[in-house]
Amino acid sequence: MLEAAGVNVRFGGVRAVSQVSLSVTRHEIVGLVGPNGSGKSTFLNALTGVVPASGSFAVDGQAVSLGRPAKARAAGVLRTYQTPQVYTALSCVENVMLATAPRRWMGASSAIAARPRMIAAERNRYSRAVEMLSRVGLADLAGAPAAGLSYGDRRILEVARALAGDPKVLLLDEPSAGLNEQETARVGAILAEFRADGLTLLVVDHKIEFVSKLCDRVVVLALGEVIAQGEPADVWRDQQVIDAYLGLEDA
Amino acid sequence: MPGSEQPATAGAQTLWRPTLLARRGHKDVLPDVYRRHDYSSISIFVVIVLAVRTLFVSGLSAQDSYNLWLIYAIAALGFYLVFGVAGRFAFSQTFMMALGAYLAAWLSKSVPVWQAMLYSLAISAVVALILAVLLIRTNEFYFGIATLAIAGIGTLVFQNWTAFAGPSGLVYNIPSIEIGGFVAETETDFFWVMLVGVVVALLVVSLIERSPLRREAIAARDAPMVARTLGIPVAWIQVIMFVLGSVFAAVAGSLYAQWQGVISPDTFGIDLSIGIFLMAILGGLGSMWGVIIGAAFYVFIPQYLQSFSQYQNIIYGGLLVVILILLPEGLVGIAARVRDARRGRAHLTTGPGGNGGVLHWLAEAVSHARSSRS
Repeated sequence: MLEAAGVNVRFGGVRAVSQVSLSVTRHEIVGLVGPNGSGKSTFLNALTGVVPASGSFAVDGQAVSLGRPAKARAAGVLRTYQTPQVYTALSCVENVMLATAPRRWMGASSAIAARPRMIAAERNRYSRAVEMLSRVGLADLAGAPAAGLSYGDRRILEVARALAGDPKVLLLDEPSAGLNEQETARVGAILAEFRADGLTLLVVDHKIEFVSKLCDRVVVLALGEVIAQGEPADVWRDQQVIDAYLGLEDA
Repeated sequence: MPGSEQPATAGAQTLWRPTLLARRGHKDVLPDVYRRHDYSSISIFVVIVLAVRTLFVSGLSAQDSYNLWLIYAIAALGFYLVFGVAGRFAFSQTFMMALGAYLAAWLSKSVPVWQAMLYSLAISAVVALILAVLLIRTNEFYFGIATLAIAGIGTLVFQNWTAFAGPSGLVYNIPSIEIGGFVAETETDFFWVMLVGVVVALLVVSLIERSPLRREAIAARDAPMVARTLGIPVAWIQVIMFVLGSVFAAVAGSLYAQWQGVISPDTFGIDLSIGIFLMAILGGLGSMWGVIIGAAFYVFIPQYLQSFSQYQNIIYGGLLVVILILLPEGLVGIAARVRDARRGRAHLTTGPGGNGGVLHWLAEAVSHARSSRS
């Protein structure tokens, strides 16, 4: 489903991500772990066009050009961010509606001259967005401004928004960061529910328990390179992984 | 800026009450913004404008200011779309006013006035589109400076291009508005024309705001990269908003030319550029009504302060500072504050002057310092 090969990201002289190849098959949940600064988030940024990168990237067999956020989105790649990026000036349901496709009747001309069609399309987006919010347990807050949400609810709203975009592959950047155990469990439960629907997921995270519970397979990055991959339980026993996490890696 | 503020400590439940439709069990409806009573508000606005004019506006100079207010309101509504909704700080609003004015003046030498106006708007829109495509990818400050430069270059061109704009950019005897059999001659005639202009501008803004465009423009404004990864065409949306706002300015400019019959580059100088920014900040960018109130402040308050003779500017400056500090959402923010206080709910501010905005942040810092002292 998602194939990335030889992805490189450079910041000046620093190689943040170096020749990383990674694939996620349909309905698979892959965890991307590694110590701070190992290039996990940068890798997600590279795939979604947030930072310039080189390498090859394909979704569902179709090549996607790197460095173009719109291309990645069009290919069905949606993502969340390390700090929840919800729009506080908008209501929760409007946040979710930002992702709902298709993009039709959205321009200035239809806003002025094709209002019935525009409104019909909006109703459709609205009902789908509310449906998504009720699945993640935020339906009661659909009309509330996102500015009033707690940190945990913001994270869930962001996940709901990404899911509403009908992702072929969903990329989550540290979905458990900054959440307490209860909130982490809520996020985990939501992801587990959507997994039953055939969600394909690449998740970056630190919490070993969260990753072990959720993921079919784990890929470990250290200093921008893949050092290990396999089933979660095996990977944690890998000496190289232990060294990388404890900082014994020669730099 | 999403995610940058502290989450509210009060439970989110207290911040929002289900809308009437939602309480009645209607699931398949629309976001709250579509339930705004804009047409009623615009009707009430028209009634107020008429009432105030009948009751308080007498004499030629008062009528003149009243019309000027309406013209500035049109240009400021354009700035509201560009800066308030789309978040692009465009200094080119006065340049677009000048362009609209000079084009209308020049074209009306050869075609009927209404055609001159129409062509003037079309050409201004094309010029705005070209500028937007060239400039929109520049970052905040660079965009501001670039549009300021455009305004500066524009002034020079109008001053020196004699064949188009007359000697030193002075154009006299611009023919008055003439539509069908109606020829605008008196201040009252022009008042009606400008009122129609403002109402049309308000309607267009209202239609834009009650459409997906507002939502996407806000997304593109507050976190462009996040918006791009959601598939929102950030640059295109900002181009569209810039062109729309610029056309508003061109309308205001061409109306001004036909109303006054004489224009010069100084009419649309840097003073007015800053003036339009002031209208937006003072009135507030939380809604389209803010700039209307801001334009009124900009036109009328200095006149009332004339009786203070030499202290006039000090008082005016003081007033500006006080409003900016006490009302980070502008004068229009008073209404929202009162409404939220009456409903007993927390007040969440929005827009660049509001939630997450610089001025809001300042106000938060001040109130935080105060509460930690007590």
